Amino acid sequence: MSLYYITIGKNEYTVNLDSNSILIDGKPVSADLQTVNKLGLHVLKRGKKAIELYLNSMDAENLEVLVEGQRLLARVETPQRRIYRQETKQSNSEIVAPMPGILANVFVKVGFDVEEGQTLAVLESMKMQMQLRSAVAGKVKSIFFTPGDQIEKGEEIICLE
Amino acid sequence: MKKQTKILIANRGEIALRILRTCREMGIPTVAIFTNTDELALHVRYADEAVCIGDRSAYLNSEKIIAAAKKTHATMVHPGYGFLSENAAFCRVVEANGMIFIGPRPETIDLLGDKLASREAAQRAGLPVLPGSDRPLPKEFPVELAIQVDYPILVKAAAGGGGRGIRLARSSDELPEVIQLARQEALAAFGDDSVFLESMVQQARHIEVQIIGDGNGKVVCLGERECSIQRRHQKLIEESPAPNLPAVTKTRLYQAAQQLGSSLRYRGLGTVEFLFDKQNQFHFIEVNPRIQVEHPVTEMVTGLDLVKEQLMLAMGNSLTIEPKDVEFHGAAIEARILAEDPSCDFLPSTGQINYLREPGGIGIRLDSALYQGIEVTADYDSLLAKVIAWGENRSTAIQRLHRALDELQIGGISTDLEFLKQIITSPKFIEGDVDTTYLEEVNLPQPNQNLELEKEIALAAALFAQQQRESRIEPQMQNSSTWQQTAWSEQM
Repeated sequence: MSLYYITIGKNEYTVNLDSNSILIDGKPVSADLQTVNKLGLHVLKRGKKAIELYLNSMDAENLEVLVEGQRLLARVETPQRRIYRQETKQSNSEIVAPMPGILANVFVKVGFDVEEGQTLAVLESMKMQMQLRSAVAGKVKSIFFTPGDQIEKGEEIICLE
Repeated sequence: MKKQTKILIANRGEIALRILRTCREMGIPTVAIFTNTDELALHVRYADEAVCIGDRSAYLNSEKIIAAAKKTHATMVHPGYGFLSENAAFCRVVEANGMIFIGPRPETIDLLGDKLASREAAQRAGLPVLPGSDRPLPKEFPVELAIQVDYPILVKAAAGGGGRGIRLARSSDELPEVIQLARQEALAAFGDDSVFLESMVQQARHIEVQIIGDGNGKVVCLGERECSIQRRHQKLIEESPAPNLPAVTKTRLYQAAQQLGSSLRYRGLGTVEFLFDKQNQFHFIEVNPRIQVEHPVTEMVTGLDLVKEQLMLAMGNSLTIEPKDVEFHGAAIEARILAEDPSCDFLPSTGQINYLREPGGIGIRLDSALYQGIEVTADYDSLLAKVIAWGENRSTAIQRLHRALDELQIGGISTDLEFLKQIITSPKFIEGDVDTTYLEEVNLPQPNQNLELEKEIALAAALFAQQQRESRIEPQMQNSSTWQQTAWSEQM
């Protein structure tokens, strides 16, 4: 028997699979998932209904789903995975790139005191400029990039102490 | 002997492909240019020849582009939109090298690129303009002047256009900082930091008129496009005809655009942009001297190929369209598919498009340069594709657009698809009662949380995870029983 927790938005579903039955939130259903092609296209057969879905594993637990004109992410976890999952919360003292782009400007140097809400740097992407502000007051501990650098989404640009 | 026409397209993405398609139909040889990051782009393999011009910013490098044109013996250059399309210096270099620039004369581009000079030209041609500063603001903006201004006011880049380089100041306190930001942006985007002030029309509609001119004063108007659905001054949805526009107003609007075009002895395609106030009075804002992103809606309602008309003029033919021949059929709407994440404040999204299903069917046109596997980077603007729907009336066109946006599936990156659907299903949009502030103020209908569908997705996700787990185990089993595989393959 296999147990899966599926999280879509705020809702969680429990799906129980064994060799001859499928239970969703404890209720038995009949369903069959057919692979249409190697690109990720599938059809979920549910009685007379056939639902087309594109399914793509983004990593160990996140599944990208395209269905009926929507794109959404579903988290798929086994009970073991759920136990080991650790919520990592981003620290307020890190200025992280919210989008990929090029660092256009940095207004502070290591050792500067900064106020809450102060603009520390400008990131430019697709001709759009975005000001990166400090969420807290503090002192600049380190700066990891210089203007002109290409930065990936999620990379830490400035660290405060 | 006249040299055989050969066109270099100094652009990329969907517009490069759009132009290449017409060239192919007309049997005209083509040259594409591309940068290192665009080596695998669709326009590169659609053209007859392609030349690499350098790193990611090279689409702005006129020297490299001219060199590519000379190397391939191109006779004409089509600039598309964006990049060097509104750069008079580029136009002059193209002409100085004995080639034809597909667009207006450099003097016209110069004039229209200067938003203050074009205001003046429009005024001279009898068009109504908005009150504003007639000269660029001085480097140090006098604080005492800030108090005399009526707020809110727009700070516009003199060299700006296409909705870029515009910022809003709500009070005299804000003005100096807004001017500073506008200057910075203008310098980065246009290489010129002069800005000016222009009155803001509250709840304005943005309506523009497509014109085409032969360069000798004959200018024909090809109808209007309503482009009021904008986010941060960037158009998202455009349509023709503009809904709820009285016929008399429309006639006066066309006349105004035509007058300005004639007074400039306008050559090629151009768009005269206007703002409409609540009383349906219109005010000139600017002329875009190039093909527009939203040109397909005009093509859908007029049945014309605007690129073909451009090329015919550039090849020395006279303008054969007569005003009385221009007829408008039905309604067309375009939606811009952007690599932006609405759930994350519209930040650009990048990555590989690992799945792509394009819409089709009656009344649908897709202008795109996407293919499955394409890598979307932050190097260029975020426009991925345009879906254009035509219908015998506006409501049919909206229904078709909705259906097509449902059909279009893009996997791997976030797009604005869901957001576009929310807009076109909102009651005010359906009534045609929108202005340029619509998206800031409206609470768009949230997509119904479809719990039935969610359940199906959960089932599919679990079954998929199970299948993947089994397929990871299977290969090991197969190895241990090679005789089974052999037996199976011998049956074939």
